Amino acid sequence: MLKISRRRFIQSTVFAGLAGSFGLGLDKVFAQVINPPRFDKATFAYGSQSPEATINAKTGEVSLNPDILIRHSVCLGCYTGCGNRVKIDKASGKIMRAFGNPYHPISAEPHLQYDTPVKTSYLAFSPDHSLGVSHGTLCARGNSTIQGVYDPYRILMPLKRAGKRGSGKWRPISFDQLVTETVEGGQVFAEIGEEHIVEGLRAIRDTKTPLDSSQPELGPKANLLAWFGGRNDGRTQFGQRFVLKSFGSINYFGHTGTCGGTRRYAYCTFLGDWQKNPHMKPDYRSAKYVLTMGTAPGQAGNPMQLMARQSANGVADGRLKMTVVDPLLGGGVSKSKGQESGWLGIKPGTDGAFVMALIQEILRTERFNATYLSCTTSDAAKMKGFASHTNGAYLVITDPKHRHYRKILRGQDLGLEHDEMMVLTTDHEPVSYKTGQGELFFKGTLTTNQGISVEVATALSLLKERADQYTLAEYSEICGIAVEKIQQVAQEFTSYGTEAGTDHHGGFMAPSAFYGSYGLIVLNALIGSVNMKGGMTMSGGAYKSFAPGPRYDVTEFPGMVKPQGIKISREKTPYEKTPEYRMKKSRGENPYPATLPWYPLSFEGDSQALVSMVAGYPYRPKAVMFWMQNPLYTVPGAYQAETIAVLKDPSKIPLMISCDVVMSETTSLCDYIIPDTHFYESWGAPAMWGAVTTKFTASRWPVVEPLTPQTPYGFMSIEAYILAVADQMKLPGYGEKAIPDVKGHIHSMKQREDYYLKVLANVAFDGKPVPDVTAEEVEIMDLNQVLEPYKDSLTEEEWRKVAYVLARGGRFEHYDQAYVNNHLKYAYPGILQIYSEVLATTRNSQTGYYYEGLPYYLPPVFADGSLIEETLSEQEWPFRLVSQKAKYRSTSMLVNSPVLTGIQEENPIDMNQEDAKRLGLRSGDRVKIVTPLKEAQGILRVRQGISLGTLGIQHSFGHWEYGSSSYEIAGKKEGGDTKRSGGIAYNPLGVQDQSIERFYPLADFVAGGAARNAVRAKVVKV
Amino acid sequence: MNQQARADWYQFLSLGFLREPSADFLAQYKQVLHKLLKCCSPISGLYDSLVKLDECTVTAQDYYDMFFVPQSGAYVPLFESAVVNGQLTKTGFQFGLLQDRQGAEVNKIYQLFRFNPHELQIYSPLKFNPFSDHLGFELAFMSFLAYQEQLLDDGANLELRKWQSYFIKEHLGPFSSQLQTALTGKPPFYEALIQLVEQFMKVERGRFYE
Repeated sequence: MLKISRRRFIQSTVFAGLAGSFGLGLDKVFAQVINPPRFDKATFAYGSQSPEATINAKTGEVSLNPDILIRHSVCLGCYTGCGNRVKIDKASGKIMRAFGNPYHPISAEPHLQYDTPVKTSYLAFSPDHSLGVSHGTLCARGNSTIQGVYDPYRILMPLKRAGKRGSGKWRPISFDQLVTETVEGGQVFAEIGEEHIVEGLRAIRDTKTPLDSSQPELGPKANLLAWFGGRNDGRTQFGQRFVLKSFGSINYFGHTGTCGGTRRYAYCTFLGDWQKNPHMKPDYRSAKYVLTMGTAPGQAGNPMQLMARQSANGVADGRLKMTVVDPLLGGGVSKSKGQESGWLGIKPGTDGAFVMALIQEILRTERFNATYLSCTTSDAAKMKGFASHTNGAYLVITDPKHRHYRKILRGQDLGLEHDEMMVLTTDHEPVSYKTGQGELFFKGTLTTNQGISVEVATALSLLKERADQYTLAEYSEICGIAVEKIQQVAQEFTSYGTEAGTDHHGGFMAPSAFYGSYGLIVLNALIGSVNMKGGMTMSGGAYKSFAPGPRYDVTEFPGMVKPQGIKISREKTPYEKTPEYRMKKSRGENPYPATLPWYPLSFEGDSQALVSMVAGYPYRPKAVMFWMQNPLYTVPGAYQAETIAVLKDPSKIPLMISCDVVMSETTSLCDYIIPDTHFYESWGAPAMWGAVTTKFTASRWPVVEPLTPQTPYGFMSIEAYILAVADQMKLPGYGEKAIPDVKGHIHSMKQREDYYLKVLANVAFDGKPVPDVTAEEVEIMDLNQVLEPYKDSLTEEEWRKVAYVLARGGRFEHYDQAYVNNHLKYAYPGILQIYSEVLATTRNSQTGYYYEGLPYYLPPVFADGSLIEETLSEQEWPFRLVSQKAKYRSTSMLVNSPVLTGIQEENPIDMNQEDAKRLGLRSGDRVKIVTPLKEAQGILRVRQGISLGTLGIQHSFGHWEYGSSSYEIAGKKEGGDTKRSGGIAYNPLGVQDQSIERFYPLADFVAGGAARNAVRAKVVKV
Repeated sequence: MNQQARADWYQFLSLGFLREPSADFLAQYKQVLHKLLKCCSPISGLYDSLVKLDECTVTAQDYYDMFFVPQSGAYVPLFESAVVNGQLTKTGFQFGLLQDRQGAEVNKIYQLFRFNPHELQIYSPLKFNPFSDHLGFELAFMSFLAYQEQLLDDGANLELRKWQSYFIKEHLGPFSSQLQTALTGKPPFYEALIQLVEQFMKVERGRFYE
């Protein structure tokens, strides 16, 4: 009951009579609470968990808490794959919390020696560093992931839609019904009045008959199954084995094309390898200077923890200087000691201009490593102390009339008998690259004694020519970074010999970003830092796991199929090899442009695959599986009416299945949902990110019993579904004859453990086998509880070693093995491509013109090379959107963590204070962002540390599904947690490529990576 | 001191940390200061501290340097977790971690009362500050509770007093004490303001515990 009125109360304060804006405005919040909650300390008791162990501070003796279990796993909160140790209540079997695994190189610095007993590793729990054991850590995202296991909206039963697609009506079905209906098809939706016949997986799986007899290049009918498999979480190979090798479809997609594909494609170009798709990171542990672009090393990029920790240590110790070039000042830029370290704000989408300015300056001032660049073979480079070599001195044919125009000059081009690539002596005599030495700069005509003349230039000369395309002042004008800053960075980068490197990631997902990425990578070639300590590392790689290993070959099996044809994503195939090109040519038509762009130099183009599904070009799948992947939310520009219309129409794509833990945006439009295991309930051997310079393979195992129901094929999950489908269809690679061992025996695969345990046996036995697990370690981890049911999957000898690996969360080589003198132990063996002959001889499918074979500044363009500025002018669209990774969110997930939504429910729209002043806007204003495709409203945050003309928006907010909106399961309402919908969803704000008539979100010009950043926009106050 | 005065005092102290010290703001702030001064006994510690504060000047740059710019050399993370978990070392005060146990608990208490400091009229960048245990927020929360006490009947007030007592004992009190150690040699206005907070905490401790 109120004793006095609020008005009287306010008037009686010492604040009465002052301007209305003075004071805290407490009166506005009075109405919210009248009766106080009952005082009870227990309601906010915090930190009340029992400790997992106690440590005697004097002796270091560890005493374990018998009620608590600690097990090692791998975190997938952001897919960096940090090692974690999970605290489990033995009585309930529930996860209590998670820590970092001190054995794991991403999670601890330095990480524990691998042979440290597990009990000793408990010392890592102590904050007492004098015990000599580093803490293993997880970030805030990792700590919160346990909530996903117990998410009230987690999907735990197979569901079948009980209304039209996207109606939000579902009913639970049995696992048997799920498998039968998806395999056999038929009128499976007759019960809701849909009479159409769904072609099941059995009918689709035809590896002989062309899916289109008039276009046999497309491959067999089996390709009509498309599988979106998400990021590599350590189980990816299980899905690939089924789709590619057993079912026989070529259409398996990861997440690269949406995530950081442009950088990956540029690395393939630089390293000349499109098979293994290698890439590199700086050796943060030893580098003296790192230039990072488009990533905040303290909160984003992969592997985030390792980068953050090693760069922070380096800067604090005075060993490392860093320059972060990014439209937004994010976490990880510190000036605490390294005064030269800092942030340079860049105009979004102009990274290539900054990079080419650096190249120009380095070449102009001759601060490149000429000794290194003149080495034309690996042996010559080694003789001079380097660990790699480039083709910078190689000669390129520059005469457009020459039949090998744009190719590297071979001996045969000069009338010689050999076809070895050619370089020049200092006297400008052409010789084979095998001489080991080449002149760096030359452009002119070579004439042989036989009278053969060829116009050539060295790769470096061509690079210089391209870098000089603009003046430094013009580059500065384009990217918004002052000339003196560019010169300063160029000087810094070249001041540390080979102990410097560059890093970038998703920030380069922008139109025309490929060449900027390529240029940033080539900078390392100019100083010779590749494979050097403190330079650039391709990582130590993994122990043999999913490869033909020392115990088993999990990659091949009797009856294995080799997928054939063309992927729907238009990747890996030149347009000139497609049926459209063939048919247009046969009709005498100009074959260019293609209906949609083709990207022969890309891989894992999930964003392009989605576009193709909508367009039905080059063909449309009949069945689609979304496995832990949510392209509607994650692919920029994908959430549009055209996409929704196709995905909702069973006559377009008759069968859509999702396997997930929650009702994601994409899942909500499917026909069937398979409940998957959470990563704490699943097996896996995740692939590792670069920047770890030693060898390691982590292991994930069900540290808690899955909440999904049991089936004859194990706990319900993607693996159980695949095993059941394979059994029903009698597909090769499963059942009795599935996995050969090295002795020629073949083993069965009837449950997921039969596969993953053999993968881990390979890990344990690779090279010198790991020791046997001790009885104490088996007891501490309670390994028998998990492994006993599967004891027939491995031999006794294998068991003891696999258990040793599991007890430590993987197999990890120690840091002290990273270097051999000043070289990295694990080096990329190939030649570095300052000039890429492959790229230079690839044509753009829309214009028919060749791509440039080396880095240059290409302004933002549409797929046909036309300037975006000409259609979407600066005047009309003055702002550029850039996405950010929030500290408390990641990827499309984690909104199912109340801890994280509690910390930050919405994402602000960041704007530079000068822009805000000009527009009369203030922090807290509600504004509308308008892009050529969409609009969205949000709250403005005016700040420093953001480039002019930039709007920063954090990804992973604004979900319209994922439990945020309600749906019905058997008439019962689920979901509706509005906290999950807070803020703006970034990706729907993408831009349509105006050069293409069909629905086609803007993508990178060369390789088709999704153009997430530098999206043109305007702002309107609401 | 009645509930009204307590609430005013808390609000006054809170404003000093939550608002940018513009000329307009300072003029009005000093007006309130003078009103409070009139109500104070000249022989109390509060009086002396108020006079000292009245004599100090402050610039917006001081405010930014002290509370928002870690590289400034004057920076102080004005968060309970960082302060109470910090310690004085030979090289100066070493702050502890942000959002430790104290921050989490403060946040939980705010949630129980549905008190959202971001809804207050405060310096706009603070609206995006995710940490609940900012000194200004905690003082504002106490002001909020003290005002509430004016409005509610005795039964409800009994619970409210328990909460206030607990909050002072476990949070604001230790926070304020430790701040004296952490802030020596900082801009005089804020040094004086923090001394005033500690003086006021002494009064409040006496109210609830002596």
